[in-house]
Amino acid sequence: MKRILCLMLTLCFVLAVGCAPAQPSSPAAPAAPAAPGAPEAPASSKVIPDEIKLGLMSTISGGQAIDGKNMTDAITLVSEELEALGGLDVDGKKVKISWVIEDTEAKPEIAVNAVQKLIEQDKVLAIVGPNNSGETIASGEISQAAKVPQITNTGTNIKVTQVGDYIFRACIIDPFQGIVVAKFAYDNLKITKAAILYDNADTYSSGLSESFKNAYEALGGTIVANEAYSGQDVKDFSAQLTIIKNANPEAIFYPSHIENIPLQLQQTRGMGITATLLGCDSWDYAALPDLVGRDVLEGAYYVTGFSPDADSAKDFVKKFNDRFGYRPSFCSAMAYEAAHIVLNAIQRAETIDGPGVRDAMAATDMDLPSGHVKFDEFRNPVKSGTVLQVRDGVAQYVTSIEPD
Amino acid sequence: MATFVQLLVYGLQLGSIYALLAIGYTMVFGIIRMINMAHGDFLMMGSYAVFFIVSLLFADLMIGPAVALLVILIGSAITGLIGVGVERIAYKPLRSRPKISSMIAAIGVSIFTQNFFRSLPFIGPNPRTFPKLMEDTLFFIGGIQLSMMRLVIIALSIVIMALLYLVVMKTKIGMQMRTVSCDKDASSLMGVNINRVISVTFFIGAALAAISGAFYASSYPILLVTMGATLGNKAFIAAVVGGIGDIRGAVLGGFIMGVVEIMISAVYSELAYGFSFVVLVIILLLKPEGLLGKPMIEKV
Amino acid sequence: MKWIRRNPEVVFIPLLYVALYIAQRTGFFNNYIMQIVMLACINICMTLSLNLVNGITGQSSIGHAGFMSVGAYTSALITTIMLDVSCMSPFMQLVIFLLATVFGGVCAAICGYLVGMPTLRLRGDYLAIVTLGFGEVIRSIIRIADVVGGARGLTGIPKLASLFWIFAFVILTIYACRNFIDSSYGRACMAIRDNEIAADTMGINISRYKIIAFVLSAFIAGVSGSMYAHMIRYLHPDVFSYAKSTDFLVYLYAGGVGSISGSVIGATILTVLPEMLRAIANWRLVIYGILLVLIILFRQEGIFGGKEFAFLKMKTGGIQNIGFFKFRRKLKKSPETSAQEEVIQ
Repeated sequence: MKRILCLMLTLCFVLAVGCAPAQPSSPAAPAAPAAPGAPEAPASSKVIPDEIKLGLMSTISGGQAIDGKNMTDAITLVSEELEALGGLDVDGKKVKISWVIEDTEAKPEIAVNAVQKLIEQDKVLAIVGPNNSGETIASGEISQAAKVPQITNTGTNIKVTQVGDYIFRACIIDPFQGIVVAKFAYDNLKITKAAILYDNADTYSSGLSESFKNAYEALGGTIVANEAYSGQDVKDFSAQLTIIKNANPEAIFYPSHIENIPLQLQQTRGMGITATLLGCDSWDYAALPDLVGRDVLEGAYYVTGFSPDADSAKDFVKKFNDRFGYRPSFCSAMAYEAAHIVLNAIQRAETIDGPGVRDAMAATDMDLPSGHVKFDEFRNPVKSGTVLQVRDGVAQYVTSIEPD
Repeated sequence: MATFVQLLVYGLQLGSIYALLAIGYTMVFGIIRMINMAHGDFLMMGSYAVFFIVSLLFADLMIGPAVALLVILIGSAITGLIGVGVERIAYKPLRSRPKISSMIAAIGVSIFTQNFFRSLPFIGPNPRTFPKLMEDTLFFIGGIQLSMMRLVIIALSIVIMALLYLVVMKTKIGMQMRTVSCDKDASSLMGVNINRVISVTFFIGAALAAISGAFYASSYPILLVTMGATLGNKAFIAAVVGGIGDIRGAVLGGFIMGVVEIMISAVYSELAYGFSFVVLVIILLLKPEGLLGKPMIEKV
Repeated sequence: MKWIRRNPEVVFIPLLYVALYIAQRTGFFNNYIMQIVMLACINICMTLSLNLVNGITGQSSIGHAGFMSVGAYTSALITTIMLDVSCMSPFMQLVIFLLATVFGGVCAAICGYLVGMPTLRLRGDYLAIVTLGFGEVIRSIIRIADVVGGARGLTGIPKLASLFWIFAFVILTIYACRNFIDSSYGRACMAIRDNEIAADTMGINISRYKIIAFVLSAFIAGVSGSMYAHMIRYLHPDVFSYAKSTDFLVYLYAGGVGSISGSVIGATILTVLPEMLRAIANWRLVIYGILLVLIILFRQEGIFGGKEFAFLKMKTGGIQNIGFFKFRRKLKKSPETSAQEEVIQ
């Protein structure tokens, strides 16, 4: 009895100490007083520090480690470019840019830890990444509260930038990508019966399949088979492909992460299915034709936000290829663009702090490898979708489809 | 009907991979009672070993079945030795502890190997194409598509099963394995060198993981450092459903898992993953000792 | 004030909170460190919950993340989708959050009961597979449940789990566990762990106590899930995968199975460790794997195996020491292995 009483007393005491102020304190208590004061005072004279730290978050370990490597390579290229120039030129002053790279392990709670570390420990000015929508949403809540601009390279889910006005993305969004694939299949290829094979455990894959399905059916096409598998570790798709084969589609859409694509395509062709293969931006991985087998991939179409053949991209593709020995994937290209959007914003920002860089980022208007980039009011870039076709083992430009 | 038979064939083909995996798993599991969470990583090491041997020695050459077999054997011997090493370093000191302690050590080993291989510059996170060790030909019998490779794998898993069965039942080391599995202390008193028996078990277990890795990679020819991550679990489930420690049970469990997975995916792919677990749990509820396991009589 | 001297934790725990709170307010502990502290707290609760089943009752559950996901999703469903708490007064938000948390815990407990009931005849590896299967089934159901976002994940969960509530929850869980272990229920569970048949012969209703432990454990897991949801503010079915359950197993066994202090220390160290290793970037998880193996090799029974902090020891009479040594001796030849060995004969 005594112990219970004592426990109650303790709790009451703790409640009294902690409860009342604990509510408003949680997000960014120390940062709050600084933020409103800062932009007003030095607004006239821009204070330029000697060194600026930027953060990169990526899936360096775990099931999507390929993307992590693609991103860190792109950032390495960016920082080497800057080193060659002697630093970033901000109003005539050379500023040293250093990158802090953190691993998210493709887990939201680790991404939250990583973003807290970048903001609190390393005091980064802005963050590039992570590459997944889920981790971007989870970490975005933190950077939004701390007023640190964050730009994801390949977080294509529509909800990513709905977190708040400090969250940007460099790529096209899932709904638009799905529409582009659907339009291309229905209008350009004149295909009326399509099938989908997607990963229902994955944000990216299920979001894309849904938007494709809706857009394609709205155009008048039929989805004859919509088959799911669960998780990246699934290697055998024969059950799903048997159903797809029996439904006899003219084209099959594979919205999956790059790790699954080779086996899916090989097994499709292995079953004697001759339908046209349609893909999404994750397919944009230089080694894909060799992984899948050139004969399997021949003639396949995929949509991406970046065409390596475009004039604007040639310089970047060459530099990247010379440095790392492989053609940049969509993931690398978007990481490179995201980094340049941030750097460009720093040059134009009225103040070198979170809100200043955010405003400058929102007003981005620059030429990048994928073309001219501007943000709409939801901080999504206004970009057209590029359709590529694999011919002789190389992805070649077919057409561009504009957003409506 | 034709679709049903076709799906059954696919199920058996997928099951053959699980069965091959489960055999190696159940060896270790049956004799040391250890849930070896790193089994899938031995599989990964084995397939990478074969990959490197082939790409370094026979770059772009089409190799015949005899050479392919030799390469697989070398690869599995390497993996077997690594397995013995891992056992000596990480599992042996824990032998007298509850088996779950060695399971934690195995998780540590698994985290280490996956990330170590990923961090090595010549392996890295990028996927590799596994070389074609044998040409896979597809042929049709009455409209049912069959794969030569998978038939070979099915045959092979039965051969390995038979061989292992012979080793365990007819040889001296096999008898020692069985005694160790019954009572470690008593068999030690009877003059069985427990360290040697367990080392041999681990060698066989890891080598079998490597062999299944080579065949797994031949059927699904993309190599990734994380490829073994969940396969260990599947082997575990197959082994338990079939009856713990029973080699025939592991094969049976593997085939059942494959067929269940394929059949349910074909019926309703959205929930297939969960449903296949439901079926396995139901099997266990109806037959708690596993399909081929003997009912346990507990003594005080 | 003699009992305060006997119960130093009454002073110690509020002081710890006050210290944490001051450290947070003054900025000595920045949000990054606070984030890790809160994550460690949730992991502690999950490990304690697992300890009730695996450590105290001697069953093996390897799918505990399943219960966590039930709690996380049901509570988040209430606070985010059914009631939009963001437009309510802070007090109402708090009340709804606490009710939702309890409701999440109750749902998880019901699941625990449903899983526990039919699986009592199974033991060891079989029970392990059933719990693993449960976790995976739940996950695959959530994936297609559009009301909670399905595979796209659930976003926009209000941040209601502050340091105070998470801290209070950890303390309550530690107390609940200690008192459970110290009660006749706990001792019955330990008797089942040590020897099921002997316990049965002594008149202990085995199924009843197994179920009690399982349900209590699931309840705690459900509440931890709710705390997790309202702290991270984003849920995805794959967060509660098999790998997550394995994490808790690792915390439990590295900390020392059967020991409350062990669960606390194990979860804390292994949550903090990967963060401390961030400096070595690419090799982080390589080193983590090695350290994990080293911990288990050099402290075979776990860091706190068979030991407790003084204030967590059992308090009823002389049984404390006997139970303590008995436990240690038992561990050398563990109940599980000896039972298994008997089975094979």
